[in-house]
Amino acid sequence: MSKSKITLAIAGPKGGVGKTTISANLAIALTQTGKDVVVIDLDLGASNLHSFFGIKSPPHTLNDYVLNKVTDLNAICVPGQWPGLRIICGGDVPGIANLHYQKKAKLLRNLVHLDSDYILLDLGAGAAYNVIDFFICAKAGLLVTTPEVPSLLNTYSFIKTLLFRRLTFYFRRLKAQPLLDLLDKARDADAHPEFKNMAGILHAIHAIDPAAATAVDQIVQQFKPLIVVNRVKTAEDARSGDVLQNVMRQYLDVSGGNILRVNEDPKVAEAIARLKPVMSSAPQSTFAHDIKRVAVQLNRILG
Amino acid sequence: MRAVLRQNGYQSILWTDSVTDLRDTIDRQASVVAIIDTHAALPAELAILGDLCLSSRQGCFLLLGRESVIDAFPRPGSAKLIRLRDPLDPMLIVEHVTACFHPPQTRTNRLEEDLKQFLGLI
Repeated sequence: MSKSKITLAIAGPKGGVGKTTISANLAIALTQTGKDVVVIDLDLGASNLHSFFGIKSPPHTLNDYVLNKVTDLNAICVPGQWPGLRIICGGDVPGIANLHYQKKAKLLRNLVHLDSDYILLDLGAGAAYNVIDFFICAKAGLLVTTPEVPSLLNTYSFIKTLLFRRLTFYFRRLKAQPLLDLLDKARDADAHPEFKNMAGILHAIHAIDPAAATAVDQIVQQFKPLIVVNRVKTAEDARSGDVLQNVMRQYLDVSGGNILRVNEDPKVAEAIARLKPVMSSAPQSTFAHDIKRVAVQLNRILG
Repeated sequence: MRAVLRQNGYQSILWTDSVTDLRDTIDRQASVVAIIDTHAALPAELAILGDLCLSSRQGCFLLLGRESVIDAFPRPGSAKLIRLRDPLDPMLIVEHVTACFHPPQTRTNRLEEDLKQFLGLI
């Protein structure tokens, strides 16, 4: 019987914030809570998840799927060294970074055939539609940021882009050209300051189509991203997630997501240098404890 | 009171009868001051206005009226509520409003302001 799956997209809008470190170690931590996990390297064009597990020559990669050598994603899973963990290593065929929409849609459809409790999607940096679309299609999304302003800015922009993409899909489905035109205007908030916040956008949608405004409000309210603030060093750092959440609530109407924190730990750099996950090289470290806590919280929130 | 606020750079709206108009204005203008004179409000309206104070994510509310009424108003989250008692001192009110919109800078406040500025939100 197929398992009830949780697809969790993990994105780090600003590169270098520790997204893949968290994906790899969270995958292990989830198996330690008794869950089966498949973690997929979807950092298309810049894949390196396998190196975090010390896998130097993966027997199968996403290339096999992209090149139509296999149709079942289960066939390209590489067993991890931890019971319950499988890994789909990233591919490097030319053009994979700009995966065609049909190929992307097919890949997303096939994810449900993976037999696992959790399917973790380790996405690339930035807010390209390849990343956003995988994030939208997952049951849950986890955004990794550091406490610094550049990373927080990128995270906010990612969420705004995601909401606009989601609304674009919805308005296209309604074939509502006036609403699509409105969304285009709202993208230029400098020229249309009334659209700097979601309340202003909703107000304008309501004037065109009250039913659509209600639906949009629901879409926005249902979006509750999990945010991991990584590399926390001080109490002020720990509060940065709340600050971001406050700005999101004020301007995007996004609220109710959970903020999770992972402390700075020199054991992380040591583990990466040794090509080993922190969960195996330093299982008693602060980072390992924090990741285990995140895994338990995820089970509670998503389970 | 509205004239003094205007002289100090604050836009204000006086609640008269439509809560919807008040809500729309607050949603559209983050730095508007909503003046609510509870003397003119019916009990049902007080309840709706209280909900508005609780749910509003921006703006600043100035509450006038009998002490027992304005003290019973719910305490809002991020929206600011100032309970005004007689005698009214316009300059003191301006000070309260300024403190609402420009609280003393902590590092957390500064981070929020930095984010908003970089994102072009303010």
